[in-house]
Amino acid sequence: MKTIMKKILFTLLTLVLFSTGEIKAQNSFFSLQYSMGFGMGDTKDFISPASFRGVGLEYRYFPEPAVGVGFETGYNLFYERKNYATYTQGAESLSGVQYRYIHFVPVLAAVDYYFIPDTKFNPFAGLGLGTLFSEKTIEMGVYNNTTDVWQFSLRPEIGVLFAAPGFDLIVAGKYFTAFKANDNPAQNYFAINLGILF
Amino acid sequence: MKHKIFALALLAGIGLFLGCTVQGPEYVDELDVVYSVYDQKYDFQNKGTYSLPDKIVKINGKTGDEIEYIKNEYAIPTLAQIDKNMTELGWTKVTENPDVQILPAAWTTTNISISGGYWGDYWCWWDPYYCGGGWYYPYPTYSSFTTGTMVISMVDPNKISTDDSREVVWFGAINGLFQGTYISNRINNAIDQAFTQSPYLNLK
Repeated sequence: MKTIMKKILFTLLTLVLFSTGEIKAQNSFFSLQYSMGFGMGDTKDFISPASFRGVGLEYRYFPEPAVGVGFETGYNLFYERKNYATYTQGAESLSGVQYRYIHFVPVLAAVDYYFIPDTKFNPFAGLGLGTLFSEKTIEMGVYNNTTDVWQFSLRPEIGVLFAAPGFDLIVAGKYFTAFKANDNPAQNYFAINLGILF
Repeated sequence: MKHKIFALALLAGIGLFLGCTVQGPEYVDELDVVYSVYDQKYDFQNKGTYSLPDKIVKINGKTGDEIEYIKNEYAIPTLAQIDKNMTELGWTKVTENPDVQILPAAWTTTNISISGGYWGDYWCWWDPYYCGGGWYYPYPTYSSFTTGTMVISMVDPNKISTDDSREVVWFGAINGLFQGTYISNRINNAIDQAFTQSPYLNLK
């Protein structure tokens, strides 16, 4: 998973260094965001605490002033230490301290509608469609169990673009949902992203 | 330029934040794990006696005369703790014709699977049946354990399969005890936990 994180950070660094530094929100933009995640449903059942380790990257192109299309990816890490407890399933029981992790990487195509284009305060609503990679790990003693899965994913979003002195910012709330597939439960989390446009 | 500096600062902040690894186990006892499994069709309530060897064998891949035992300083308190738990659950220790035999072993290799039961040979010194004999598990269970595990098998000597193997009616595994700092309290606690999480063994 650290490899994925390094690739994402390297990609982000490259985009920042080779960007022109001009705000190009009228035609297209890249956005680099800090992301906080809050587990919902099965995700919250597995790990309760919120995630404060996250990053988002988006690109939007505007064929019309009120319509943005593009892609996004990112990374959120959920983590929880479960105190010593006994877990029983059928005839088997297992006791110990558990460390649980979920790494999420969404890869989505996205379309947004902007309500007040070409203004300093531009709210929008959008929908993303694609896949959500998740790596779920339980560590117990010297043993660990890891499940990797790609699941079909939808991501509704609301947010706002606004102009701060010198740069443009984005604040968005995103609800990531990945549908149940075979033995893999549905995954849901809500993310609050804060970022800069360039 | 100001824009790029801000973006780089944001990126650096995110990188530092992601780079801070999440907290793993801090103390060796956080690695202790207790596992147990049993035959759900077995009627423990109609049993009442058990036997227990006076040594704990090392499962190290060797057989026959090369059997090794763990040191008495560790074995004696461990066996006493097993006795204590069995007594508290209402079982009576006997030396002949027990309803079940309890066979403790320390795992010192990762190359042996518990399935197949050939390591029944390890108790050949104690019960001639195990010379070349074996046992079977009527339920799915972990197939191997790492070094640092103590396993406790409860075998019904009267429940014999068609291939002459005896059934392991209960199986406990305690991992993490023989790595890091040796603390007898951890062993006792783990043995207690193995029986605590197996309430079907309680005859009272």
